Amino acid sequence: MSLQTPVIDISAVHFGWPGEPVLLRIEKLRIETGERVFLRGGSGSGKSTLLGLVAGIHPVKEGQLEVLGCDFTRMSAASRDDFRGGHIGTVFQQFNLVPCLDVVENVLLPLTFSRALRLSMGGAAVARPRALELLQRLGIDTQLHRRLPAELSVGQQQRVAVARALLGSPRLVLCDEPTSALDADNRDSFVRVLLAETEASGSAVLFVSHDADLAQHFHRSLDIEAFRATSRRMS
Amino acid sequence: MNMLSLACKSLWSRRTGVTLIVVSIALSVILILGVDRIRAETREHFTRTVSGTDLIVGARSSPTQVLLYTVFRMGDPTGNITWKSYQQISAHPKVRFAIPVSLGDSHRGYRVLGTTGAYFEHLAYGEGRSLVFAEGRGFESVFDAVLGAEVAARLGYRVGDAVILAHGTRDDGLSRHNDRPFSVTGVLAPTGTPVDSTVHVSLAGIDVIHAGWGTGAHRVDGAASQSGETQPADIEPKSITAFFIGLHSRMDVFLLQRAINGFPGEALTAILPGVALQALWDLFGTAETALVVVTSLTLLTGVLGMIAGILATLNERRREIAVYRAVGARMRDIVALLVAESTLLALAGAVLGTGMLTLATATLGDFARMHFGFAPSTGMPSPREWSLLAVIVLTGSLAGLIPAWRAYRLSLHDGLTAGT
Repeated sequence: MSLQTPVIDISAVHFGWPGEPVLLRIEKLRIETGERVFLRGGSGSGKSTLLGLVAGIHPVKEGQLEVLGCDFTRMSAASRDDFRGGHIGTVFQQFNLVPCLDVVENVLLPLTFSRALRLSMGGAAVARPRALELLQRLGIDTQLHRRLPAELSVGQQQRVAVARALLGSPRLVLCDEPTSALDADNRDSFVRVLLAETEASGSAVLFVSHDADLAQHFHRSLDIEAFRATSRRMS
Repeated sequence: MNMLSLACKSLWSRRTGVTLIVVSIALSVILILGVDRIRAETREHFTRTVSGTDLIVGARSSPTQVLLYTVFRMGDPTGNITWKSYQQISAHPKVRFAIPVSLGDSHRGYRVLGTTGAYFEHLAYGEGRSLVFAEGRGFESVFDAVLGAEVAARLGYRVGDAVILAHGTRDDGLSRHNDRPFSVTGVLAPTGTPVDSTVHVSLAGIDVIHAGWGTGAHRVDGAASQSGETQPADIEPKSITAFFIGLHSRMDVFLLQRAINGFPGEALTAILPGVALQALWDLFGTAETALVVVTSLTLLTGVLGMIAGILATLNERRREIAVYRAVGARMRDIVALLVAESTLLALAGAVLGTGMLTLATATLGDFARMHFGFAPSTGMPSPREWSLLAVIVLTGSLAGLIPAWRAYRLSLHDGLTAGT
């Protein structure tokens, strides 16, 4: 057990969309530094909403939600956004990249919006070697650097997305079904390289997928049903 | 990369659709600036139909009427002025020049005006542009005529041609075959003023036209031409219709106007042509307002087209916006991005439109000047046009708030998960 502040510390968070019944009821969820957690759940199960809460996109009114010791329930939407840009990496199912930007520009994109990241990394000039290094480690050749996302395979796009998520060596990386658009071979090699890189940068990972086979790569496995206000199994 | 270059890249990646939006804004800009420029130029040109002349003197009547028959050669003079009064006033020490004019006849629909060489020397229009001979020279003898550009073009007269000027407007052979024809000695360049549609002869020429009709019957023996040949062109007539006055100092204009209006020998009216022209133009104020309304509607159309264009692409850009949100973009960044986009579109449209208009006026300017005697000014936009352009760009910017608001709503709903 690490003595550091937990990466995620949630207790008694009840969340529902305005005017709708409570969707998620998270009594306790704690993720430590460098921990790799697998969260299983199908589509429409509320897993994306849970990631939205942890990423600071959706406002939390009730309970306690701390990420790296910062209390999201007391922060403004804008400061949560800035925090996300500086400390949280994200990889989604697909369409992680901005179509009009080339590979390197996509990796450096967080610097455009996050003041926190600019402060911690020291500007684009410093960040660029880091971006190139990440791309190389993820197997994206130099000749692909000036390509647009549409000119890459889906597997390549997902690896560029990982490079971007890891740009600022974030303490937390959120993954939402990042392998669902990949075939089996690509899927395993993607998960392997993702976890190797997050381990190298010391990032904790919260990985959401419906694919239970992937759970073996993680320290811990959870089921979204545990956090659902109305369990499917009970109904 | 900053947000502005991000907006530029995003626009560039959608350049086909974006080009259409920019061109539609540019067309609005051309219409807005073009209509406004033509409106301003027409007004400017109209109010400077006569320049350099400080006072116009006619028989006592309303200023507008004096203006209409002296400058525009429309309607009939209320009466004549004796040559004696003209001589007395033009001899005033403050008078720099005086141009006597004698009206009342027409030739195939065009007014015939009797005057002296001072007319070609001193009469000016626009910003002090003097009359220029496109061909030939002024008149020297009684039977010389100088034609305005339109008269020469429409009736196909050239220097050296014979023109039969008869009293009245009848143009049947019977009334003119015994008369001595006038010969065209000069044709004036186009001015865009009533000078273009005037036949100029000497004051003596007018007398000759009238001479045969002095008793109300046509003299068939050709005595008029006989006597005319012996007359010098600058013979003194008994009366004239009006005269134009230029002063040494414009400061004296009101002084002299009062003096002429109270002239003891004869009831006269002296008008300030600039003021009278302005008053006449203001009668057309409604037409000007209509133009402004049309212009504003044009702007509205252009801006609505732009909003529609941005909104149409917004749905397919939801994923892009979700990515921005995921990497730390605040809601106000998304709004700023879309407002920057519409501002860039409006700016590009304004630049393109102004450029095309400048090119068009530069290319067509000579053509217009040749045919209409004046043309829209070229060169940098005037302060008024700059402010119009600023309004256009500002409207475009503000219009960006509509798609921005829509993007904000969509993004709130999508969170990080658009498209998944």
